[in-house]
Amino acid sequence: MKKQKKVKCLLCPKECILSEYEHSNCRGRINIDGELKTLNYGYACSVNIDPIEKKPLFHFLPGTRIFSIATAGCNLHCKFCQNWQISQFSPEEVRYTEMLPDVVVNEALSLNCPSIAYTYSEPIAYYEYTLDTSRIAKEKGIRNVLVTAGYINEAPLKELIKVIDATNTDLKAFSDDYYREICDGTLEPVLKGLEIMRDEGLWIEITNLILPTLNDSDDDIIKLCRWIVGNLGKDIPVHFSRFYPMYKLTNLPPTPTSTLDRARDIAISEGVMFAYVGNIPGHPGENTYCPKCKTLLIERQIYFIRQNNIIDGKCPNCGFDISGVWK
Amino acid sequence: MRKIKLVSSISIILICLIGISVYIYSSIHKKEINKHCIERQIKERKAKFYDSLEESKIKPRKAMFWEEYEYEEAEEGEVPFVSEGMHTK
Repeated sequence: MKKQKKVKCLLCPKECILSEYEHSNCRGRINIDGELKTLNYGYACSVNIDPIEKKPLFHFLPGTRIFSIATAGCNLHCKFCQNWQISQFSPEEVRYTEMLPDVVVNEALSLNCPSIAYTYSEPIAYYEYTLDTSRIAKEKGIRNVLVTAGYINEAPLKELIKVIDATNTDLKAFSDDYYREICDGTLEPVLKGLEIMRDEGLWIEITNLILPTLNDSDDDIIKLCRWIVGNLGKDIPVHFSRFYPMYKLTNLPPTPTSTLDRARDIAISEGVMFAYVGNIPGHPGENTYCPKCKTLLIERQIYFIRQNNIIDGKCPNCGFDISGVWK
Repeated sequence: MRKIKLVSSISIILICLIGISVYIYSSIHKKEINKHCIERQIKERKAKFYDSLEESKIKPRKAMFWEEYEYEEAEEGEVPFVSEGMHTK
């Protein structure tokens, strides 16, 4: 029998073992004659300038614009994916613009964007592109933001976060069964990754997309908040985001506003200082309030800032330190 | 009586010999099929990949964080591929 030139990818916990000319589970990598190659390096399928609040990052350079890029592919396969048109396809299957890392950085500079986001699909699936772009950006004084599900092995994560300044990481649920059944992943590596990012001093915000009947019970939300408060800190902003029927979960209704309000109330009662409600334009849960004196600090309308009263990272009323990266 | 015994013994020996021959032949043939199967699958995937590459103009680059995978050759009759990846796009 012919001995094949197989390779084992060590990027994410799936650790795909690939026969010759076989694609990885994230679709971004392929075994070509016994060597693992990336197919998405430099092939951006989405390029936009977004308000940083869209990521969402509420405590990191608020009110600024962020140069945002993505390539095709993702190592998770969430049934509710909001960007499945790019995340669940291979790089060869989508329309792309060839943009090498130095071009991305120069574009961001010329458009006066103080930061670059690796977002929309999954930056772990285009790891080398993210890493090289981030290194160049950092040299030129641009900050890097990772919008990710955090499903990555320790070694590549540690290498990448040397050049990353902030992350919004999806903590999809505090249940391994949920990760396995709904997302085709596991919970433990995500938690481990978040702890590593905290230890390395990254600014972290967490998004929890709440799906009716799947992860919306009080118990689900309490467990998630307790873990965040106990392991990352109570000053980590948590965004409870509204689900809209999408991809393979069109049978579920949108998340009721009352569920998101309940999640926010539970988070605050569990000690989370900054709990937000997302995907509901005009909801007061989009605003930042001082955890001590309840003064309105940042008023937001959809992705835009209507007023920002924070002075030098402090509440103007009581002087309480508001965690974040403000300049 | 002795003649019948002799005939039945010869028949049994003959049946056994035929059985052994069939077994040997089928194992060799099966091995050939397995080998052919693997080669054909790789060839198909390779062709499909280069077609898509030709269409998309994508240039693959060397990836980080991987290793050559040491494995035992599949025993005869076992499934030749064990993988977490995707056989097709």
